Amino acid sequence: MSVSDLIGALDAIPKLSGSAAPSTNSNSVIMDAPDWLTESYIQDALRDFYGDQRIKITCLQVHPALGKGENYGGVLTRVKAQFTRRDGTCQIGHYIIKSSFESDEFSRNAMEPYDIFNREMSIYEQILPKLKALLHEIEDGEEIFAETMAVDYDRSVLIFEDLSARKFVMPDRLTGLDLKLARLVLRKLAKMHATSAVLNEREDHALESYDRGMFNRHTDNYAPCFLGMLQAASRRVAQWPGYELYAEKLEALLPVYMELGKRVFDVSPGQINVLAHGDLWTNNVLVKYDKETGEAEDVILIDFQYVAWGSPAIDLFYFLNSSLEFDLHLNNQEELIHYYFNIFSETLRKLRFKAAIPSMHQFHQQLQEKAFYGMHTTISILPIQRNVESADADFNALMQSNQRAINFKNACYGNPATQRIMRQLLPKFHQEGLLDADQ
Amino acid sequence: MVEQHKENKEEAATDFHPSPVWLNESYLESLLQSKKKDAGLRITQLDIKPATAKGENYASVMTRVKVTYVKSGAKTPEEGYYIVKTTYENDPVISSIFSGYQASTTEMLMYEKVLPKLSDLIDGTQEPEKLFAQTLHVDYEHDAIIFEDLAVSKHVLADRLAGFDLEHTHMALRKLAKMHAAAAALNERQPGVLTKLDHGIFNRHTEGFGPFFQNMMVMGAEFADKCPELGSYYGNKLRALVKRLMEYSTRVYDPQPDEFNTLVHGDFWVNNVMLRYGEKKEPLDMILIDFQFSSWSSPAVDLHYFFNTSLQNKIRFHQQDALIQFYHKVLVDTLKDLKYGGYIPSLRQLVLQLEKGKFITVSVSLACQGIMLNDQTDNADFNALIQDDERGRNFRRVVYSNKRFQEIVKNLLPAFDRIGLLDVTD
Repeated sequence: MSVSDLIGALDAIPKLSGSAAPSTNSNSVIMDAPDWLTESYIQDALRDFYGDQRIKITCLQVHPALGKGENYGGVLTRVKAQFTRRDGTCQIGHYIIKSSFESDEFSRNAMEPYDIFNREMSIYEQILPKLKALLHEIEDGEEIFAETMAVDYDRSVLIFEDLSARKFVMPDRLTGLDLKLARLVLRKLAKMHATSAVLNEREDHALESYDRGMFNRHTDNYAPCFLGMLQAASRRVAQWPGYELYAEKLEALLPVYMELGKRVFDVSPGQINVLAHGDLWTNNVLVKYDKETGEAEDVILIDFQYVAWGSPAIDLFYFLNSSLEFDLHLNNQEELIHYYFNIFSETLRKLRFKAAIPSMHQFHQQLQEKAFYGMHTTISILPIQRNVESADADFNALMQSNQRAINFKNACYGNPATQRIMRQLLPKFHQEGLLDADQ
Repeated sequence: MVEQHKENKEEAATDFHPSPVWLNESYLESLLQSKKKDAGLRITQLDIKPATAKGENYASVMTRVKVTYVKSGAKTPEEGYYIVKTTYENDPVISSIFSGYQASTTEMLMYEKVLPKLSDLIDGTQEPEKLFAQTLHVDYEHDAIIFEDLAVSKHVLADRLAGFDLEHTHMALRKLAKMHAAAAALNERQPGVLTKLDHGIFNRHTEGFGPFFQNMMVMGAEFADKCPELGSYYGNKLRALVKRLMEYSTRVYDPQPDEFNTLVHGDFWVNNVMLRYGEKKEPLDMILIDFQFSSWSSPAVDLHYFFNTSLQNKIRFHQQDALIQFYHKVLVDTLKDLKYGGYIPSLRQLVLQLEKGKFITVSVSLACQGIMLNDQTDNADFNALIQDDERGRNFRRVVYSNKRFQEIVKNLLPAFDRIGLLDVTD
């Protein structure tokens, strides 16, 4: 079932007018939700958020929000709640409830050291509102993230506004974003990065404790995914005539690959550092399209599970090498970085950032030091994200090394779009020294 | 960059610079006796032919020498073919600019002391090859260099207007990499012997060429203003950049302690190599010439200079990464062959180092390349390059009216701007 199908299904349910209703509502539909997710739970959350203890839910629809292959980071549940306020008015709210994986011990253990749920909660609760406040300071009303409704640390649950109710949808994950969309995302990213750098400065380096991005110095738990993908890439590339050398070079990277990834995430003191989103790709961007023209009007960034303090390269190389249309991926990265940088540096200046703001060429050089991440994203990440065979597309398939997992990874590299971009970029990465074990 | 008229001399000129007065039989006989360590050597025949046409306001004059001599105790005579290169003081302004760069002193030092040692080092590697013309003698008193005449071995200049194809480019980069490697090894074995050379085209002692680079950038700005694909956005950026052009360029030449440095050629373009061709016009061999501007710097100096003056467009715009990789391999192989114990950059490290020195591509493309592509040789002399008078401006306008150059500039300015090379940063 696609996201838009779900939205349609919810809207077809008739709206009730506000009147007193019994507490167990015969209009409640709760499908495939975690046990603790009851009408009462949601009602309590609403009461806290609105500061209105008289709120009563009159109608509730709860459904899973995503299909396989669209989210590897947790359980998403969509809630549409119709409720009455203290003054008798009727209101409809749309929310997304994000909770951790419940039943799978393997997944829980694998993800545990990355602490993604706690981190995302602290980000939504503490950090994002402050970044928004900084933009307000310079009279910039730009919306970058969804509004947080509730944070439940005990259950590792986040509730925020469901942006699909405001007509934000997920863009097509398989074709990649066009220039207009790419710019919209980069504009938001630039402002998020800039405000985070300023916040860190004003709050005595408070953001620097976010040091558990996808590559970090605390854990290698995701190594089976990254190295497994690298090996699958090497196996596939070895089959392409004329590409045997590249297959060998990919294979030869295995012993140093994790270290090279960690260096990208190591904080380089002479460089400008920000709070990076950490997983910025098509599926973590929601888009509002104009009804008439179909043009993208606005975007919102979601999913802050992998934020990390470090180089903007973390987000820029990841986004530009995973989420763009083929031509842009190949030819327009520099131009897009330039576009991002103008907004990034301008925002820093307006906020009177005290530390040195690099020149464009200095910034370009700083990014180049982390260019391994662009190669990593193209070779090991994009193939996951563009995967079309969703039957086995889950966290286990990424992280395990059993036959099912190997098959899944091999299948990722059978995708023609993935192969096309890899064929183009492997020679370029090679020429730039990014496939060398001693880079 | 300034020897562009070598190939024109055969065409129009009938009036040549006279050969130096001191260059006579007695001089040459003593010289050969000394070099061949044979006091009984006798010259039997001597041909001295001026080779540089008058009207060229350049700093050096060439004379071609053919000498037939008999060694003591020998019956059959031998022949020696040499070029004598001397400094010529035609225009006091030009002379003083060139002497500010120590151009002739540098070249004499190179031919006397440095190139022979680099050649010895390369001869000792697994794949030795000839890189330079062999020096016979350097005469400091007469400001003259005497070396083998490469024309005799059928070496010629390439077509500067066409630019190098891949085969020529690879050959040039291979030679350059070997020179760079040998120089690094030489300086390691004799610390300081090369690091004292610091009068490259951009240096911390003189800005004599400054007006040339600045005037060309101003003309580039005028061109951008009127060009529909560019516009005053670029014109304004270039005009603002002019005052920092010299400083930003010179920074590229300053050797950095944590980087790979070597003796750079300093003027490495099409016209400063001589080629020997086979029957099917394939390049068989290449010799590097003209070492007036060699200095101890980053290889970025030579590579960016070469890439932005000497390549065919499709190679220059699409294959630079592959060329850098190619150069790097020869550099590293040669350094290891020479048991170099200093810092050897990985390919990625070299790429980053070249990126750091990228500003020089702006100065070189907008100034040097324009001159090198120019096919209108009226009023094409050094004075026109330096002066900010009507004649100078006209000449620069002509340079910027060259269609091929215009296409290159239209391509390059947006690419420069995207990575911030046109920004005034300090």
